[in-house]
Amino acid sequence: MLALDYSTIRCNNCQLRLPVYEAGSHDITCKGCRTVNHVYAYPALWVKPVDAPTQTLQAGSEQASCFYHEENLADVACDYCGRFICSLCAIDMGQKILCPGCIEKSDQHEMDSDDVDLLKSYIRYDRKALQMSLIPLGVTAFVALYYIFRYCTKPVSMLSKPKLTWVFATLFALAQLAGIALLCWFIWS
Amino acid sequence: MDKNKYTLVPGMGNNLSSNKLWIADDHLLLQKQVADREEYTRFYFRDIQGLIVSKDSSSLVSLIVLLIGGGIFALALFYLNYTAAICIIACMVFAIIRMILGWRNCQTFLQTSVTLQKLSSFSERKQIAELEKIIAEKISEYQAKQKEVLLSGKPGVVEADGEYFEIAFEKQNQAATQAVNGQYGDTFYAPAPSNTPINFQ
Repeated sequence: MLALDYSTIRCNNCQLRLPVYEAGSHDITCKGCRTVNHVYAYPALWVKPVDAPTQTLQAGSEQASCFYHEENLADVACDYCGRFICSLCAIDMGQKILCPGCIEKSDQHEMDSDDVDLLKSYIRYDRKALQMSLIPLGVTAFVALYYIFRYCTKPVSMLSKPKLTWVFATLFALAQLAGIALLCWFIWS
Repeated sequence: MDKNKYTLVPGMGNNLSSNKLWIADDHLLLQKQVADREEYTRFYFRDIQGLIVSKDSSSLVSLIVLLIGGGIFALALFYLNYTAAICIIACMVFAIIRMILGWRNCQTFLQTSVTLQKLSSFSERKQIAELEKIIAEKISEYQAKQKEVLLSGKPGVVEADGEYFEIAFEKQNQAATQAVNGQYGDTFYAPAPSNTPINFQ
C-alpha cells in the first residue's frame, strides 16, 4: 500500500496525476505513459474528513476522569472495555470508539474473536499443520499433531471454518507416523 | 465469528488468487494470504475515493518469456538428456496452464485518502464493472454527506451531521487548469470555475 495525498488520482502505471474533477466514470489517457486508465471517482475524493475541534477539559474533584490521564475530564467510554477516556484517548474505529489499550490488545490477538470489526489478521495454524503433515521427515508429523491438538478448537480465520484442513492434516500426520513405524519395524525385524 | 456479516463479492469464488474481497454493510474487507498469516484490510464506503483500472499485459509478457526461454532450454537439453528435456516441457506445460487459468487482463487499484490498494483478484473488466455496480449504491448512501458538503460550495472546513469536512477546491481547480493547459493526457474536461460545486453524473 502506498501513502498518497487526498484528492489526487494517479496513473496505475507511472503514478502521474490524472485530471479527475468530476465524480463518475472516466477514461483518461496518461500523458506520461499513454496508458488508458478507467477511473471511477466518488465524492470523497474532493472532501477531506478532518478532526472535530477537540478540547480536553480538566476534571474536577467529583467528576469522572480519563483512565489514562487523571487530570482530564472523561469524554466517552471505550466500546470494548468500558473504561472512561478523554477526547485525546478516544480512537474512532468506524462504528466503535476504543481506548489505546484495546487497540494494542487487538494487535496482539488478545480480544474476543467475536469482535470481527477489530481483527487484523489470523495465523492459519490449520495450513501450517497440513504443510507439516505433508513433509515426510518424521518429526514434522509430531509438529503437525501439536498444532492440531493446540489450535483445532481455536479460530484460525475470520471468514471460514476450515474443518476439512484439520481432518486432512490429522490423517496425513497419522499416516506419516504409521509409515515411520512400519519402516522401523522392517529395519529391526 | 460472524461470517454472515460478509458476502463474497460476485466473481471471486472461482478465482485462483489468494486475495479475496468481501462486502459488509458499511465496508469492503480485503482478505490477503501473507505466508502463514491471513490479513484483513477494511475499506469503509465513506472513505473510498475511487477505483482505477488499467490494462495489464504482464501475463502476456510472462507467457512469451516462458515460451521462448523454456523452449530454447528444452531444445538444448534434447541433445544432452532426453529425460530432463521431457521434465522441463512438463513443467512448462504446467506453468502455462496455471498462467492461463489466472490470466490477467487489467489491474485495479482502490483508493482511499490514505491508501492505494491493488485488488489483485480483479483481473477482468467485467468483474470490475460488477464490483463498481455493487459498491456505487453503497457509496452513494455513505457519501451523501460528502456530496452535500461539495454541493454547498463553501470552501474551508464544513460541519455536516457532527462530522467535519474540508473541501479540496484548490486541488480541483489546479487539476482543471493543468488539464486545459495540456499537462495531462488527451482527454480534457472543461475547467470548473473557482469555488463552484463539482458536477455529479
